[in-house]
Amino acid sequence: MKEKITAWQTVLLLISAVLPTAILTVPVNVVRFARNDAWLSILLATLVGGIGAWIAGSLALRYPGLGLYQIVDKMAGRIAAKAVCLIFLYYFFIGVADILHQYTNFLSVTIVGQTPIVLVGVIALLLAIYVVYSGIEVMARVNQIIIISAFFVFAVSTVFYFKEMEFERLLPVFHNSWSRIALGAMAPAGWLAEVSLVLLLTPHLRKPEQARKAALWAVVLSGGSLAWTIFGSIAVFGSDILPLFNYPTFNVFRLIRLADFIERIDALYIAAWVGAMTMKLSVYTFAGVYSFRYLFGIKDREQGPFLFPYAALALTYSILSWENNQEYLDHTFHTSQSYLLFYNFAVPAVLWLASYGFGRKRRVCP
Amino acid sequence: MLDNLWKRLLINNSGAHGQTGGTSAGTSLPEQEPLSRDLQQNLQRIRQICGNSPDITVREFATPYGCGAKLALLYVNGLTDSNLVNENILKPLILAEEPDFAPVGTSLSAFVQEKVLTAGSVSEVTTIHGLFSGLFSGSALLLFPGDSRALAINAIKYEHRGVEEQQSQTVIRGPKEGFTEDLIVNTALLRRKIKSPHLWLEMMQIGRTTQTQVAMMYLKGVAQDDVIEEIRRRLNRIDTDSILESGYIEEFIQDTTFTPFPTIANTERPDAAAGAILEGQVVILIDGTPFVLLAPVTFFKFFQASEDYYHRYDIVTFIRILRYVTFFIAMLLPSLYIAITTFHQEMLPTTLLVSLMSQREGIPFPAFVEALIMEITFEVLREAGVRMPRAIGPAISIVGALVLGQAAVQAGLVSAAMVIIVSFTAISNFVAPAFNIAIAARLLRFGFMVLAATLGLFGIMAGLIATLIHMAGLRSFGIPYLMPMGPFVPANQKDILVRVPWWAMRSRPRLISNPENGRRQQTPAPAPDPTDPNNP
Repeated sequence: MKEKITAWQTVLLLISAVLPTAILTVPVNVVRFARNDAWLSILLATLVGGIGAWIAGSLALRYPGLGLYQIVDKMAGRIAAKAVCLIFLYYFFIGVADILHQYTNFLSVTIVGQTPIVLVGVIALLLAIYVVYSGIEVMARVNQIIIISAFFVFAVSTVFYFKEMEFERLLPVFHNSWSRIALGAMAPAGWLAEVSLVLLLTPHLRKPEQARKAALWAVVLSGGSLAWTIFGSIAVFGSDILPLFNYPTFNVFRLIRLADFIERIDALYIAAWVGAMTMKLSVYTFAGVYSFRYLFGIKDREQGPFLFPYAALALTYSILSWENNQEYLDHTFHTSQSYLLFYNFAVPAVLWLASYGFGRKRRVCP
Repeated sequence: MLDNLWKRLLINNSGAHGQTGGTSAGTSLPEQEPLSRDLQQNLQRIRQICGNSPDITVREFATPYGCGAKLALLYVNGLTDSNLVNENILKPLILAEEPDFAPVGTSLSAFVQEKVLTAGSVSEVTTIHGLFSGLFSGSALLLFPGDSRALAINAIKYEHRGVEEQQSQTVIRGPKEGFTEDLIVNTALLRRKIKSPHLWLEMMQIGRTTQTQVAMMYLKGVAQDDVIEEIRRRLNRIDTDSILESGYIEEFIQDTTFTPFPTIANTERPDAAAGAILEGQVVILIDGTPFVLLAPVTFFKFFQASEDYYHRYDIVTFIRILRYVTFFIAMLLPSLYIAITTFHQEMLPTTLLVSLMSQREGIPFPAFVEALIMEITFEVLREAGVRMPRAIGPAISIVGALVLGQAAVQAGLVSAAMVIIVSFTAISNFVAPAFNIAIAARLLRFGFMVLAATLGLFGIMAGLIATLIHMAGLRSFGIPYLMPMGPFVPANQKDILVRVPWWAMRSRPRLISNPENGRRQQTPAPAPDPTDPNNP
């Protein structure tokens, strides 16, 4: 029995594939370029990401019910599909290592400083492969509950630091040139374009014709949350100090102080963030394992023995790839931007254009 | 991968397991051994099999019918109504007038069954197995000479507990009747609550030695057909020696064994069972126990008590939220205390922190060991309180808890805060309406304590996520365990965290009940009458 997920679950899965890392570190580079117009950058990025989502969604609609690799298979044959699968496998693998590095970094800085990084990474990966092993329906259900709870925490906490906000810090609007705003929009655009992951989820959609709508909704919601977060963060700290923080939104949260005894509730943010990051890790692990299975023709039932080695390899890469935080930041804001835009924007666009060229058309849903 | 290992372990072990094996002479009868035509041979065989037990009465007598035929009557003293046996079986047969036509051509047994016996339910028996089955179900068996066909006359009457107030799930408002150990009484109680002809009953016998009667009751058209079929299939699949309680059946038919969360509910109250039937669940009644099984269930059903529907919606909503909060408290409070005092002291307000730390000053153990000692002590006290005789039980457990706790604090072994935490955890555990879901919290508590002691809040968070993943993967007869939250169904949210007033509950919960039969009621909401001239 093929497992099926609803459109709303897909939207939430895509949001959790984009938002958790973005919400933690997005202000840093965006604000460095666009300063107090950073929220405009995010809106611009949402537009760009929306275009990417539209392209990926259209590709999904031209071949309803087929995943990314099956689409390439249909257009250009088995060898091309396996080649595309190989490069995407590499992308997802690096993605898992990247996410894991950020995960362990944040936790070792904030709460589990004395614990060896390996242990934190092992626990995170154990949770991720437990989810992947249980199947995509379980992943969708758990994701629903966790993302909505995390969203709740972040939304409700906004109310509490309202009084720290000074909206004058956001003025003057449009003071920065468009080139700066565009530069600031590059990183978020790459992250938001990650919703092209929907192409891997289409085989499991209950109604495949809703793939494009789901991707667009995911971009709009994530972009909106990011814009509001940056808006609030600049209002609290101002665009000069904000890029100096490593984790700006976390520091905004730490300002919350109510009635003299609810204070220093960083643990709540960390709890919500750990939940959301575990889900992002699971989504990427799922994508990577799915690509691995497609490449070697392994069935879903037989995927058990491959999960532990995959996770162990990803953990090793995540610990050894970047020697210090500077290298990692350099990777996030320079290296990853290029390959994110390539995999999430360029490849679906090429495939989409090619599908008009020589791909055989199936039922086209409006 | 692990699944295969488990499967191999279980397959290898079931052969050696005493419960399911055993076809030795004492435990089962060959199903097909027929009655012989010779009466004396039948009687001898019966005496041989049951070892001349004196409570199986054999009455041989002669009847004028069939030209002075000698018949034999078997019944078990204590299971049959002796009045019925005497008046309706023996009397018409022995005291019959000499008939002016002898039954020729028709067998004596058919004639007696049709024309002579004045008892209610008469059926025919042709095998030894059927004979004993009828005998121990309270029937009187009539054996005829030269005939391999015996008659079983239902004369069941035995001593059993009457319908009285049940002790396990008490309510303030609502019916106080409880099920009894008698299956017929229980089905009758349910029929009184639901007077619909669509309430169907299916009987089966499970257990080779105990031959326990098990019944399934459901509302045809409301309960989903594939769920009914799945339950029937699993019940028929059970092959064991004995079924003494519904717990046996529960463990045989449940979806996943290796989970602390129950996937089948049980209840002792007819109104709770009737409510479940009306929502599309299936009730499984077992002869010999007042606890009936309800399937399929979701996680949130364990937090719905039948009393919720008898009080007003506002107080019920408050209590529902309280139940969920206390479930989490019962699961997480000791581990939160351990995590915060060991690793995250900065989370507490300063005054509270100073007070807690001063209490922990002289304690020789780390917080984890302290918590473990107190929790184990409390579990011991709780179990002892269950077994003690009614008269001294409560006194000893209260005194024991107070004295032990107080003395331990004064001896400097545990801190006072720890005693408070442990007692509050235990009390929160009792708030859950169903005992089996409270067990889940009780068991998981220790796992969370270990996680908190090693990894602090991160460990608790990881444990919570792992528990959530586990629950999201559970199914109860095909229904996802986290039903209206897991796959989020907005239409079913009316009865989960809150309980909306009755006039707002327009449809039955989807995915448990049949989708075509979705409408429950259409009463308009209470509002002032617009056509009433007196009402502005």
